[in-house]
This record gives sequence, C-alpha cells and structure tokens, in this order.
Amino acid sequence: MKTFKVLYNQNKLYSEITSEASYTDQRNELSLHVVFNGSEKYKVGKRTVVVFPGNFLILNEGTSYDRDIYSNSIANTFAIFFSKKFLQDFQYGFSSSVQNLLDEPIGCEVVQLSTFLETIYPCKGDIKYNLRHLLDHFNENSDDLLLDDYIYHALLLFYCLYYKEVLNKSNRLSALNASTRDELFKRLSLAKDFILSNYNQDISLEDISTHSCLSPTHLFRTFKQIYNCSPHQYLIQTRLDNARHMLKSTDYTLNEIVNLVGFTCPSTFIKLFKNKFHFTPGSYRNHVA
Amino acid sequence: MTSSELINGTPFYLNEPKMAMGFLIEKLGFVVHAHSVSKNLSGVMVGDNHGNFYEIFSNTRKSADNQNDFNLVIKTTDCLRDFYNMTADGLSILNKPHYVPEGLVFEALDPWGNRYTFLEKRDYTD
Repeated sequence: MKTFKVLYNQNKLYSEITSEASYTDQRNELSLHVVFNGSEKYKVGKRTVVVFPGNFLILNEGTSYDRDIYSNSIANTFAIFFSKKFLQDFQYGFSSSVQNLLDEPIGCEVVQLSTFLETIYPCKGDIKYNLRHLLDHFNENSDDLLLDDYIYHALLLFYCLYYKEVLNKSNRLSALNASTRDELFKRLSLAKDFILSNYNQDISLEDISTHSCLSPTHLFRTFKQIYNCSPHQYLIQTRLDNARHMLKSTDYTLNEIVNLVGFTCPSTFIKLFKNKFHFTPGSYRNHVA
Repeated sequence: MTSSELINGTPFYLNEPKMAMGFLIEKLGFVVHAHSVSKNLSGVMVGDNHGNFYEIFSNTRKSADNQNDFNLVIKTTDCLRDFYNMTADGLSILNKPHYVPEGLVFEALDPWGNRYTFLEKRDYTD
C-alpha cells in the first residue's frame, strides 16, 4: 500500500507498506528516508546502503538513486521530501537577524541551500518520536498545518543531529587540514554505513576496509577516534541494538533473532546482550511486553 | 481502578475549578472519576485517557493579576498535536513547544488564569 501527499507548501510525504517493491532512477528534493519495519535497500551511485529500523538516510536534492524492498516481513517505509522554498525559508529564518527578517521578509529566495553528507543517521531520541508521530498523523490524514509542524521539527532535529554526528565528530580529526579531514570523515562514514547495512552478514575488518577505501590499520585507528569504539565493537553494538528492537517489536524466537542479527552462538549473544542492557534477552522481552 | 490508585493523582489547585474542569473535560478528554476529600479540602478526581489521574481543588492563593501560581503539569503522549489543538481553540500560548531533558513541552494559559504545562515525556535511554 502506497500513500503520498503533497502539502500546501509543496513538502511531500510518502509511506509504503509492502514486502516487495523496486524503483529505479529516483531523483527528488532533499529527502529523509526511514524504515519502521523490515528494511529498504538504496543504491546511490556505486554504493549500496540498507536502512533498518533505528536509522534513517538523507539524500540531497538531485541525487539519483534506486531503491528496493525484498523483505521476509512486511516493510513499513516513510519519507519526507522537503520543498526548496521551505528549506530556504528555514535556513533564512535561522541565519538572519530579527531585524533582517523584518526588513527583508522574502529574502530567503537568495539563500544557497546546504548539502548534507549522504549517510545513515541514527533515528533515536526526539527525531524518532517526531517521525513516528508524523507517520501516525499522516496515516490519520491530519491537517496540513499539523503535518507541517512535524516536518519543521524533523528538519530542526536533523540540523541538531547533523551538528552532533557530522560537524562535531569530524572535528575530532582536528590534527588534519580541512579537505583531508572531510575526505577521511567521508570514508569513515562509508565504513559505518557498510557495517549498518551488513550487520547481519559475516563481515570482516578487511571487507569494511575495502568498502571504505582505507587500509585496515588506518581504518581501525581513525574509526575509534570518531565513534569511540573499534569497527568490530560497532558491529556488535549494531547487532545488539537490532536484536533489542526485534525482541521488542516482533514475535521471532530467540534463536531466530540470534541468526537474523548475525550471531552464530546463542550463549555469546545472551552474554553480550546482558552486558550491554543489564537484562537477559528473555527478561528484556518480558519487561517491555 | 481502586480508590488507592485514584488517590495517587497529582493535586491541581485551579482558579474557577468548575469552569476549568469543563475545559479539561471538553478539550482534553478528561473524565471525572470520583469526588475526594484530602487535607480537609473537597476535590474532584479526574483522569485523562492515558491513565494519569489528577485531583482538582479550588485555588485559594491568588496573585494580583489573578494568575494561578501553581504550574499544572499535564502529561501528554503527543505535545505537538496538543499544541496545534490548543492554538486552534484560542488558548493563550505562553511558550511554543521546546525540548527539555524530560521531553517536549509547551505552556498555555486558560481563560481563568490557570497555567498548564503540557509535557510529553520521552525515553532517551532507548
């Protein structure tokens, strides 16, 4: 089932519930893509990223991409397409003084729009609540103005997240000059996206290093600087976070979850889960039920 | 619902409690559960549709501008929706929705000078 709505200010919302779909050569405005169930695969240029629940993907205006859903369970995907005028107005509102906003109320038309790092971002905290509410109101066919309020907050929260996840983290590589730092951060983002997209596969440091165009040693050292853990630890955390999501929102058995998130040994999984969340998987499921 | 659970409601001291309760019932879907006596004051136990209970008393402590000194915190599951509805109903908005460590809040004033904080508590540990 597909639902699409164009709001009065040309912002667009799109929701799809399906287990199989394929779209090629998509090209839109700046867009935010989130998945609440299942997964969705995006091919952007030469790279492939998979969005799972707990993450979202940002694509800039004009980026060409293919997207596919082939899922055992029903996937519930949702996207916001921000209109150019809305983005200009948003940026103008934040970058101008009150006096300037009064003197030049339509000055937003000359605002040069920002482009963002096209990577997977964590859908946690306020932005998770915001997108969930927005989807609910979209499904209830709520008023455009209410939907627009959520879209405004989604963008506001994304800007805050961008500062934290990109600008702040890339500054941890402060010993490098700006262009080298940006390039290295981009490659580390490729490494992170590869882990997030393939967390349920048997992947090695060499695989991650190949996909991020960094030598294993360089990757290992710089990844830790940015994400405060090694690529392997990041992979384990991603598996555990996804296992927790499955325990909370699906009926899969423990053994099924162990396999689905890429662990091979249930006892290792239980031990790691307990270390991270202070609950065994079984008691966690009972706790959230 | 047992009476002991009802008694655990948050106390609200409202200006013009009958009128203000009408607002809570009509606009926020509150339901009257019981009449109560606490600290020698007679009050009314009301509940919202999310399982929260509030004990309403008449406010005897009024300031010069007739504003209620008490801050009445109403728990909501969707702060932006309530803000949208309250704005549409013409309620005076004191603060637009903003993020605080507990979640998302906004503040509003009813026509009788009662100040409400709508709080959507969010779990950031998840």
